[in-house]
Amino acid sequence: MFENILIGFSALMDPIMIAAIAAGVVGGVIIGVLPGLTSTMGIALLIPITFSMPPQAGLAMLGGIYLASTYSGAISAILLNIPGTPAAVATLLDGHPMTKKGQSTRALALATFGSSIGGLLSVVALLFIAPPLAELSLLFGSPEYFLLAVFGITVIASLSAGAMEKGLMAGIIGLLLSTIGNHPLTGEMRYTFDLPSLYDGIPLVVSLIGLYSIPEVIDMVSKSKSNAPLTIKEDQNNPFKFLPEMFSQKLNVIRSSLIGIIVGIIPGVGCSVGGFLAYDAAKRASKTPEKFGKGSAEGVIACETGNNAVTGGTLIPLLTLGIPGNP
Amino acid sequence: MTNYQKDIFFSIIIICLAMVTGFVAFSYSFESSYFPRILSVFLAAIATLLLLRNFFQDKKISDVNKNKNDIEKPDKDMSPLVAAAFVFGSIITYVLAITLVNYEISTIVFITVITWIFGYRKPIANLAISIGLTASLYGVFFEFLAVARPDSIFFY
Repeated sequence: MFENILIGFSALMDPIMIAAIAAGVVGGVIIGVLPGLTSTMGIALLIPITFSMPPQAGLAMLGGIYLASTYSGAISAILLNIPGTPAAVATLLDGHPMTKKGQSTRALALATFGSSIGGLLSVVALLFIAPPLAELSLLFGSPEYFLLAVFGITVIASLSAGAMEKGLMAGIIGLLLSTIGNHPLTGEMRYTFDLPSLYDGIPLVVSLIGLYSIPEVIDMVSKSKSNAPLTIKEDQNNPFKFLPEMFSQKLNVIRSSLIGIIVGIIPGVGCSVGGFLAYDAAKRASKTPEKFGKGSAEGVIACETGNNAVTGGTLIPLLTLGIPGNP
Repeated sequence: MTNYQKDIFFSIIIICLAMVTGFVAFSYSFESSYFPRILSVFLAAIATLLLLRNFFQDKKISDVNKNKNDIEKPDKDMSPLVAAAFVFGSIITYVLAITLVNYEISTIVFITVITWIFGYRKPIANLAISIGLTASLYGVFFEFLAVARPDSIFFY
């Protein structure tokens, strides 16, 4: 195994590989920042470019796009309150409040460091423990998926502390929206009102834009005359100033990474769930849970580490079993 | 509107929504609709609970929690309903313009007008940015990625 890893590292020394990864990362960042373009969509769009490349360089470029776009969704979530990708939905809960407090550099720096560490740990897991984790992913059947869904509902309870009824109603409305379209077993159309565009349900990107972008634009329009421009109060020139803060959150980072890796190996779950579960776990373990949702650095670190740790995890069932981990 | 009034209004809206979704769900076969049926009943039950809790809660306590934005809302702010109508109206106009006129012309005009409305009152800069952005989008999506360009009726 170590021989193969060394071959991989030696292949990375090739300037073509480095150029392909750099191009993938730049493309991924652009794709992730733009709301409406997801990582999967970005890869699908850019696959034709790799046809003329050597296979290793093509794979490296696609990997760069995937990892960079999963991270960069946080940039628009933190700065604009609009998640660039579904993975960054949990990040905006604390990321944008930090921007409103003039701490956008801090939020972006912590998101970047968290994403890097989460992504790196998941790649280490992919390198060293992929076969046993792949076997574990095969053990996930209907009862485990059901338990995961129930766990998701407990996340609603945690996130809507103080307004439990409203949180539950929002969750139920979300579940009702998920029933729109073709019934998977009987084939009967539900809530489609004979509109062909609803036959497959509401697409994720459309719902993200409707739920996050449009309300933010409405808010901007309604307050366009009275809103003072946001300012950056923290040290804006040196993001590395926040690195010690990152290392002070060791437990949070390790816990979120583990959650991300485990969520990643479950086929069909994906980065957004990893981010939310890591955020919820960080809130439960935090000494200051009341700060969550109001601009907590712990929250940003948890969800960014969690959602990026999913990336390597999703490749485990994909490369070992041929089942995509990320929908 | 106080939080107390907002909660009551919200509960009534949700109960109506639950009735509509439940009514539609019961028109489907049981095998296809038991999940939405259960969800509709739950939704109505929780909304009723919220409504009753607000009725029995002392109105004065609720009013103490009046939203700070309601109290300190500057007069110059646009009503959220008007803002929502403006945003949806703009989107519909833009989509119609793409369908009828042309993607590039509609996008340039849309971005120029919207940036002007948002307070960036430099016509040449606004026009330059909108042309530049449209050209970049055209280059990236239609030329580089070969995404299908939206068709228009009058000017292809």
